[in-house]
Amino acid sequence: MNKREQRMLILTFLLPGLVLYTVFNVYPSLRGILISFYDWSGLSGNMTFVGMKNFATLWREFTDPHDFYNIRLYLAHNLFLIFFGFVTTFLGLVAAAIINEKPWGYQLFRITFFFPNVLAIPATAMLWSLVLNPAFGLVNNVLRSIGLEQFALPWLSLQYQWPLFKIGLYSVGFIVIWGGIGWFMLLFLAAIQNIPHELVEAAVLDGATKVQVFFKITIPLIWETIRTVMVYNIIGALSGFALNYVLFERISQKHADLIMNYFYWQSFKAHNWGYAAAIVVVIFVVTMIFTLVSYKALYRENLQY
Amino acid sequence: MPKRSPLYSVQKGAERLAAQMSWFAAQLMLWVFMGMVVFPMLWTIFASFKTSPEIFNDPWGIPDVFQFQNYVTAWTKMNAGTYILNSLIVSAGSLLLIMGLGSMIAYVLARYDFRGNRFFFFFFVSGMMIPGYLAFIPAWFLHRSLGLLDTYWSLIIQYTAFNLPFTVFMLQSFFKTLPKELEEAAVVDGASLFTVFWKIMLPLSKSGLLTVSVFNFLGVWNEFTWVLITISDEKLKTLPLGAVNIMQQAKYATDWGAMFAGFVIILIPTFAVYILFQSKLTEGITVGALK
Repeated sequence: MNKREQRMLILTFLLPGLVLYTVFNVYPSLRGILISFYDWSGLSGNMTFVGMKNFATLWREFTDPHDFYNIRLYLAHNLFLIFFGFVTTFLGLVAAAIINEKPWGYQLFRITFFFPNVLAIPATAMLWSLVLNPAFGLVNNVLRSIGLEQFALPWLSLQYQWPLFKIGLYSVGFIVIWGGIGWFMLLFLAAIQNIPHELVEAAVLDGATKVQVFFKITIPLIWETIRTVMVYNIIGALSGFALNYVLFERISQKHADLIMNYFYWQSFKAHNWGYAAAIVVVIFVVTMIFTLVSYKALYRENLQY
Repeated sequence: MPKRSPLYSVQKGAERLAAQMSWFAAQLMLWVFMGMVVFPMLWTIFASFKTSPEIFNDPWGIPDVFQFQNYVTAWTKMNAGTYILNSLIVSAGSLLLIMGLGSMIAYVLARYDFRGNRFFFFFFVSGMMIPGYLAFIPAWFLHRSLGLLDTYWSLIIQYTAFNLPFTVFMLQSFFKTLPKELEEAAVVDGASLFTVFWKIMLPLSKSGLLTVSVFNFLGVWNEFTWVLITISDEKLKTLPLGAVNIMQQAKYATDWGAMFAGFVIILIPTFAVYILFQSKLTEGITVGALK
């Protein structure tokens, strides 16, 4: 009797969620991979199996020396953002180490630093498009009023060239830092607070400075967390879409597109569904490879404490 | 004992001074970053009460006359009110479905030993490794053939499907920590297994449920890409997509005051949730970091 009631409960609790999850998440994900082997204009009859053709086209596009505005450029943009992710990691780590010393107002720092992380990306884009506006924006106003007129640049422009990329992409990198520090800081803070006090105290008694403690004790002991955060960076930078879409969609002319923006254009704008599916499969595979390689490369002997 | 040079105390003093200076520099850095978060928001709030000419000509001053008209424009003409209402409906529906289904699954997986338990756990949790973008195209066609495009349901159902893995993963570990004795005592007293779940286990894990809910709420409230591809009806757009509309309309009409006001309207709900549940967020991240 009790067994039967138990079986009924398991069934009724598991089944609805299982069906919804399978139908709307697992099945579409698998089908997404399948579609990448087809030529498909979207009308249900017109799906033709083409094997690796979509991937071959992508590869040709990637290696074409005459075509500058293509998937190669978008991937370069993504890699550029990974670099900013690493800067964010370092700054988050430094902020966590300082806040861990409980300076005056440290609770306030924690709360304000994390706030940008809970803002919707379009809201963040909206804020910075106002703050960085060349004519009335806060940044250029400040620069003009302290006499640095020549540095009051069109920060979100995609015409103005800086080394390697347009200035707009640098601004995206800055916004990535601004919006990401808080989360990393909280992760690092949790890890730092898990380090036993005796270790740090012993080092300080031996005459170590705070900077030495940071580099010689804190970083090695929380290395696992740093490694995980690096991997988050790579995953986040390779799947970035919304910030660039909101800031640049109408004016981009491909100067600021990330690989996911290209996917969006190929799928929901140009309706090359098979080709677009191949793009996301490639993003997924590249992400996996980057993740595994960096995870291996960042391996350090596990320190026991 | 190493021999001390005659300059030892001078040297020590200089070192201490350098340490104090660098500690000061370190704190200064935090204040600068805090300024970078707080100052733009304050500036935006002030500007939201100005007329467009004032925004250009007097960027620092306090507005002459507080222009509440900007808020009226953003709320009615630029539909900010509609977007907020839609976001509330979609978030409430999604949260109900995610937490309902998620807690039921997690409870069964955490508390009952049955054949396939481990398989189902990995089946659900593996969804955290699979990025949503792989599913976008087929899911969109699925929603289209079910006639769900341009309805609240397309958002609620898909957000539930996307957020179940994380929810099951978190709640399963919460339910595992609850003591077994309570459950047994209640069953001996004649309570049904459902009553045990509903009347004993759920109330006991209130704090865990709240933490997971806050994360899910923010995830759903801020979601952008799925709503971009499924909703084209202006009356059904949620806030993140609406923000893009407000930006474009304001630029087109060069009504900057309304754009500032639109941003402040978008900011308020997130800010309120953040202040109320800030400790829950920190707690969730801390638990996640140490796992």
